[in-house]
Amino acid sequence: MVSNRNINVALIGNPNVGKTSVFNQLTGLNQQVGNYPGITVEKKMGFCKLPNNVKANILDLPGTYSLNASSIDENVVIELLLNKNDKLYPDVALVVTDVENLKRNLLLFTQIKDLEIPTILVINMADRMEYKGITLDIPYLEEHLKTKIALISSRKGFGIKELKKLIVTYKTISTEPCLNASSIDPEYFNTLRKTFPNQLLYKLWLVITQDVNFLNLDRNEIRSSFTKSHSDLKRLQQKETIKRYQFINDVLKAGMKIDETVAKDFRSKLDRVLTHKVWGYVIFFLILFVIFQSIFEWSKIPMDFIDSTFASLSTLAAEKLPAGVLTNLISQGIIPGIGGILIFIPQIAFLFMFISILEESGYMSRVVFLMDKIMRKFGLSGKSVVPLISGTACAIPAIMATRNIENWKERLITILVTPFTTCSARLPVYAIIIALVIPDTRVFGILNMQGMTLMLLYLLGFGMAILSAYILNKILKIKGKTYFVVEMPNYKLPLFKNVGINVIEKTKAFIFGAGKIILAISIVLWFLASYGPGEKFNNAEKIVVEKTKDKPLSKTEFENAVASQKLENSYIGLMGKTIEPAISPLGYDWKIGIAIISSFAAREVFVGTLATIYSVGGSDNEVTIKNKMAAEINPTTGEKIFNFASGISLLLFYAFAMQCASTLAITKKETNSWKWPAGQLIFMTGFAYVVALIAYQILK
Amino acid sequence: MDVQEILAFIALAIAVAFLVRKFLWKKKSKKNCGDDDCGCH
Repeated sequence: MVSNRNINVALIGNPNVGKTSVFNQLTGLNQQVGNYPGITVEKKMGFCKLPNNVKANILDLPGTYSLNASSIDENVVIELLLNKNDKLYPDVALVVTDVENLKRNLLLFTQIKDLEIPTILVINMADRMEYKGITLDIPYLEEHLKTKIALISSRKGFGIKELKKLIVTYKTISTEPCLNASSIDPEYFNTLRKTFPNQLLYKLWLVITQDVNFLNLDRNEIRSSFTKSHSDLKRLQQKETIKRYQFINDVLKAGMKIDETVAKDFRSKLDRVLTHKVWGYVIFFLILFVIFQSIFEWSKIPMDFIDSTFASLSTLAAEKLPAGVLTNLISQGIIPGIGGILIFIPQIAFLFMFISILEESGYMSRVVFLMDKIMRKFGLSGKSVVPLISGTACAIPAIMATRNIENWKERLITILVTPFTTCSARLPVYAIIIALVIPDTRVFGILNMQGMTLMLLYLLGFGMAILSAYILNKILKIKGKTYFVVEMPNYKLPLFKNVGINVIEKTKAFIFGAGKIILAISIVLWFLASYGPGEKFNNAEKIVVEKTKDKPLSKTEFENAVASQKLENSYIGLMGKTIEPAISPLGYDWKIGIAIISSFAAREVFVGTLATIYSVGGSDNEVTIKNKMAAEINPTTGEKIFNFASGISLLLFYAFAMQCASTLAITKKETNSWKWPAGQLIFMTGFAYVVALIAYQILK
Repeated sequence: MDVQEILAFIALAIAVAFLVRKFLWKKKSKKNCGDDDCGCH
């Protein structure tokens, strides 16, 4: 009989075996997948309807190589599997494995079996078996591993129906362990069994060896009675691992055949080139170069289209809607503000498309391997590369991705330096400033200067991150050793569907995450720019008439002069003027100052803020954001506000400054202290200020 | 104060409330550790 309660199905497995792809196939959801390890650092839950009206909660757990946890994300798995009181405690575990790495993947499987949870062995990527010359004797494997096996390809979507049918029969699956691991020290384990007869032996063993305890037992009691020295415990753990691998080897010897003549050596040949100590870096550099050239080249037309569409929309709103405050708010505040973010959709989408292709193809793991060599020189491990590379999308998930770094010092340093990586929120600022101050010319006929500048800024962010890591490594006195194991997945042709989903999801997150903030800030800014205290604001017309009585103005000139007088004396104008002395040495006027302050909420607010301010106080001659910014003149010097010196100064400021409230919040959460985010804010913003100041003073 | 002005000020109030909620006032999540001797770290 089937109970009305949803059954809990846990997806467990080594990193990068495709657990999230299986999760997406079962639930119909679109969680991010990638062909490199460490994408999932927290458990995620979805829902699935199975045959016979059985409903299931599907739980996607972070990848773990074994039940011997060494990092926070691995702890997530063990804490769940050892806590029967957890409402998500699995009724059935799906241990997902990669057919090409079955031997290593089965270690975890044998451990899960020892916990006596009904376990199904899911052998993924079965579509590659023929190509790799692999044949499996499924009945033999099922018999000796005491389980049911589902042969699937989550990429191609086959075997999923059969897997669903198998899950429904979970109560019939044997919970008997497939090997007797306690034979590594029979005397010790027998005493343990006798003392705690009602407890599962393997759970007791994990309580002794791991920093977890979910049994109704006094942990100290177990430990005081059964404690061995640390080295004895380590020796026993090693014996346990060897025993498990001996068992796995024996089973696979008979149950799995690999025809080496069929297996092609394409992967190792490609690996030799892509991870070569010279060519590896040259190829990586070339790939980056092509990406950044393309981001600028391909985005031009759609960006211009979006910019002019919003400009027309703003004009249309002003003309067609009844005159009044709300119409002004819509045409001068909301539309330009939102346009200031939507214009960057093409660039964001192209960036994520390239990142997604690199991840899907398996190349990203080779980059991690390549970078590990550099990282070690700066006191970090290769595991820090994953957060640093994911930081190109957003620092927040990247900082969360540091959870798979076991060593606290390395983890802390990675958390602190990740915000230097150029995130997608910097892209709008970079793109608009580069378009304004870097000529759209080509060097040697092919190298686009704007694309080159963008690439340099990305490299600058990465360089600054590892340089800061080096300094922090010297300053922080925290001891600890770590090791680095990187999964080298097979090369795969990126699936159009996965790349598409990734691009859409990331772009959506960017637009809606930032969009709501930008919309709200645009409204507030418009009010602050449209209202002001005192006579200078309220009598703006009179003052302009007074000032220009000797020099008659045309109607448009008069209107522009009044708008400018009002803006300068509005609330935002007064605030801007207050901070102007601090930012003018960097080449910025008060309007840029306001944009910098408002973009502390999120960097991408910068362009939207300027669009709103220029719409309220600017001339009507220029309609697009870019043209409005290009036309801004400094009233004191008579020069363009966005010139080469101030532009470079701004680019450097945004490259280094900690302009993101959410990143500070996540740093606080992950370090459990305000000390580290405060240090991040002061160091990064202070450094940005000094660099921007020096750059402007040299270039002006 | 005309209708447009009232609507604009309502929009302002919503925007301010949204920003305050987003950046200054956040709900704290309670971590459920089960009933027994769990090892929430």
